[in-house]
Amino acid sequence: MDQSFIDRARRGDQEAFTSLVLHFGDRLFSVAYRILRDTGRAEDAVQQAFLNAWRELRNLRDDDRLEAWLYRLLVNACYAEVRHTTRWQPGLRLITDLDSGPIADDAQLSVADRDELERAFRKLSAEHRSVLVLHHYLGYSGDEIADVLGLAPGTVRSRLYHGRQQMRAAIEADSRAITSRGMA
Amino acid sequence: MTRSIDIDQVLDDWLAEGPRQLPDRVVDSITADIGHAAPTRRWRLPWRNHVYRNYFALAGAAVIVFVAAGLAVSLLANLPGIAGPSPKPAPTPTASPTGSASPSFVPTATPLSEEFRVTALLNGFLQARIAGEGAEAYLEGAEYSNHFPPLLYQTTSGARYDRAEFEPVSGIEWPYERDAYKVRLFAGDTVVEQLMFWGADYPLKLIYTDFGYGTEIAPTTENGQPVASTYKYLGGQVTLRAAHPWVMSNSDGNGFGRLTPEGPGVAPTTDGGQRTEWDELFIMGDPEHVPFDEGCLSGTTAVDATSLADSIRSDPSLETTAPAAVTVGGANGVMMNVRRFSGASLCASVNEDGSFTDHWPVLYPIFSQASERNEFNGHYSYQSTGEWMKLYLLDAPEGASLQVLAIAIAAPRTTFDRAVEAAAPVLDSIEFHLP
Repeated sequence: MDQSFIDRARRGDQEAFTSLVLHFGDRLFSVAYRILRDTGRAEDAVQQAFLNAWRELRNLRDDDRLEAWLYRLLVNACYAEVRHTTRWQPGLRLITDLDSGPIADDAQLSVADRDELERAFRKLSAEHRSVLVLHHYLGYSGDEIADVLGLAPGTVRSRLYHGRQQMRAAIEADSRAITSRGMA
Repeated sequence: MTRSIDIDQVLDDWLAEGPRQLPDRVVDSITADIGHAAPTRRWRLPWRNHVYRNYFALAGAAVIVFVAAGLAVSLLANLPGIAGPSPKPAPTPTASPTGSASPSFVPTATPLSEEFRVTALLNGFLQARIAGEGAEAYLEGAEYSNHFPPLLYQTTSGARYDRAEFEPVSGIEWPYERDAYKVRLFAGDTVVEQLMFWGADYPLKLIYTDFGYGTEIAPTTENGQPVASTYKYLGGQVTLRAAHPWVMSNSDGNGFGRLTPEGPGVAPTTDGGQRTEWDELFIMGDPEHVPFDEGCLSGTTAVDATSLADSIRSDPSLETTAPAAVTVGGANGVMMNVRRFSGASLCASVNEDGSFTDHWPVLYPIFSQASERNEFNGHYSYQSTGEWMKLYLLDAPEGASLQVLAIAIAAPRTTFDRAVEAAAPVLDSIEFHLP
């Protein structure tokens, strides 16, 4: 990202800020979708994150941390989405969501697996989901996540551990339920 | 029977699936949002005037208060040295000997009323500051920006705080649906006042900004005097100290600051989008001059202050005064006033992607932010604000990675003298730091 875009956006240049949106928008949306599991809410979270960035950009101290800061704003916007949205969420994901991005090797993840994962993930808190997404999707280490989100490293490790455990437990429980139904 | 699961691999694979492209309509919507910079506001009554409209609401509030009482009492009561307004219409929690709140306590999201939540945050924050530790946990975003209040645990002289109080700041429509509170910390005869904010976007944290949303209220004062902060620009090679009414950017590269308006006719409003014209101060490393009459073709970066001044003075499209020798921060150079009449075009040498080539144009401070960017000869031009710009061009000390430091003060004629006067202590504080 060219430094002059950040400088100009900081001074209030809307065109330069739009360049930032175009540069970072896809990445932020990808993360928001994976946390919220809903395209519309992810779009809302991204919009709110960029609006907050526009308001606060002047105060960003280190331009090299722009992306990390945007992720912080985004994750906070996702938390707000979760808090403010009370509408019922279906337990199963929409098939159309799968159509709009790459799909991993089917040999590893079957449709049933995906359903289990979706159900298990939706049961996690937004805080746990965020840490899992930053780690497993963006590839951030625990310390990097702590830095981005302003958490203690121990808190991040704890959330990662419990998030994984809950996912594993939920998947295994689903597996057992399916197996027992199949045997009945 | 259960399967053996490599949960890390499963999550890696599963999270790799899904949409990755932000729809264009969302980009358009964001662009439209920032174009309407004036924030939405909610109508809020001051704390002390909360009125419940009916008995159902009163009953609901009573239930919430009852449920919250256990937490609230521990937070609101018996906090030594802290005084604040009591939420109404509650059976206000009274002091009890149940012990004090832990300084590191941060409440979790509960159905508490806003008043209780903010009161709990402020009480915990102030108690931690008196205790000398843990106040950082109450602040949002401090590690990314100057959202960190100065004098957090002690006064300038090193005295520790012994008591504190807070009150809501009413009479101003704060931007971004935030509420403001003035906190007051006492250390003997010394009083430190700071402006703290709370908003629904960060319900579990308090927010401090070193610009205080641009009102006439200084974000931090000590015995009534604004407290200056240090700002680093150009990779830390240039530092300066600035206090209210200056609002400085926190960028690591080129810097700029704005002077909060004051005086008759200036409303006690904020910079939450209401203001578009400011008196400004710029810090630019190795700026470039791109002459308009030469077709806006790419300019050159001067190797020293004098040659850059000569290039500007030889540009017939500009009005300039005779350069005068100056010394700022131990660096020698020249100072002159520069202007191009309002609405006239100014050149910005811009790459195809819209970025400046390598350096800011030296005339950037008088580019109108409201003007359209026009293409001219394959390059871009903006319109001039018509403002005068007092321009300092300094030869950077040997060993610095930059050749020329430009400092510009840009303001309309009516406020130009005030801006120059207000910039004087900032210029006096400028120091070079060799890498």
